[in-house]
Amino acid sequence: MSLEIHNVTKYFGEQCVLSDFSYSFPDRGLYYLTGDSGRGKTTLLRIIAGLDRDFTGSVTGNASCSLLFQDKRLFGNLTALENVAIVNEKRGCDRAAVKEAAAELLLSMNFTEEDLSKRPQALSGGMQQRTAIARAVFYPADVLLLDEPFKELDKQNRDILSAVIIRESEKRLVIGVSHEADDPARNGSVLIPL
Amino acid sequence: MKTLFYRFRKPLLLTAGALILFLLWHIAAAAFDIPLILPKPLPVLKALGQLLGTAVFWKSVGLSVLRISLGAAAGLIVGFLAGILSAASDTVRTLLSPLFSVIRATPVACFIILAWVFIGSAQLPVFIAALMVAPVMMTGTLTGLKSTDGALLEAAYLYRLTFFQRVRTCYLPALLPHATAALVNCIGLAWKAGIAAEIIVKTKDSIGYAIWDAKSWNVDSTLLFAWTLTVIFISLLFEYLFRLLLKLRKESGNVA
Repeated sequence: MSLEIHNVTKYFGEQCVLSDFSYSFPDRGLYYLTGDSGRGKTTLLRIIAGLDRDFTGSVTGNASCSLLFQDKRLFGNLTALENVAIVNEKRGCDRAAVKEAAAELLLSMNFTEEDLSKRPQALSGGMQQRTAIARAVFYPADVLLLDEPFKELDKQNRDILSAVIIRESEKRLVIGVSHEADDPARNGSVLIPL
Repeated sequence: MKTLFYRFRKPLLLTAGALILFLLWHIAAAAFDIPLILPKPLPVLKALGQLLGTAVFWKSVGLSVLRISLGAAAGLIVGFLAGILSAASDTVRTLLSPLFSVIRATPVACFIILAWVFIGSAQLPVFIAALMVAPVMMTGTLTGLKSTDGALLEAAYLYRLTFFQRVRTCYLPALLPHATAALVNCIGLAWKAGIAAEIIVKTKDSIGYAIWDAKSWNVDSTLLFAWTLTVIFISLLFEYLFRLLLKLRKESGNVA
């Protein structure tokens, strides 16, 4: 399912953060929005995700979206495993199977069995970030939007996550935002300057 | 020794505070020296000990606890539902606002006298306890729900969480601290208002009636103080049990 962005313009008060932006995304692949702070990268992700409707222009394609929020937004009263599993626990689903799949994903992202039952407050910043990424990846959407996915991650975890992101981009459309030029997943991705 | 003191610091300080109160009471009673008006603590404790051995005491305490608990439970439910509706709709909040403001502003004694015209003396403490508790619970629920993290709600919306999942992840964690604080307040409030109603309308087989009887009929201040101590002990016991229950639930991980 392709995603079409037509002449999107967004103002915050008097300030224009996106001006007449258009782009046509295919149904899979890895794309990175680049540019200095304040150029509207996060805003564009929010518009694509349907969280910001106060703009002119249009976003078409009816694609469902998953988004890694820059501020993580983990549910404080759930464990790391529950935070990931909950996005797939819909009515009538096999909860045990969903939990098992969520656990498998987290374990592949450098978590230990013990970490799975920890609440976000008991996790380091890097582990919280990996939990948030795992949750975004685990949600079965057509488009995966990642706002600064490599923030707070060390080299080893960057490489692990890079592999996860590249794998996801082979199955669906992944659009990322990163300020860091050494972001390993940017290699081989399409860069879109804003 | 120092470690031992710090370990039991809180209960030790609480006991010391209570003992200071009893000491001040004793000094005041000794200075005043009119036991009919202000008896000393020891005779009061002795009278309380004697009361504990009577069937009338347990019947009065049991029925008072039952009435006030029923009223408090009803008030909590009404307040909770009103809080939810008020949080969900500005119209409902505005509509309910004058009613709850009137309840908050009116002295409890006025309500007791007014309601006595319509409600029998046995049911009145139930009604008054409910009436006093409902606005507190309503405010606690409303404040809690209004403090729900909008960013978490946005995440819940994005991931299409079900209604119950949103309640569990977004609303409950915001609601619980406020609702718990309101509940603790409500326990004391219901108890005080309920006993006041029992005293004013002289509800049969109640602590309030025993207090009224000790003051007005027998003119026995020792007995009056013994019953008052009973009220205080039961109120503190309920509050302690509630806090203990919350602590146990938190330790078992059931509370957000």
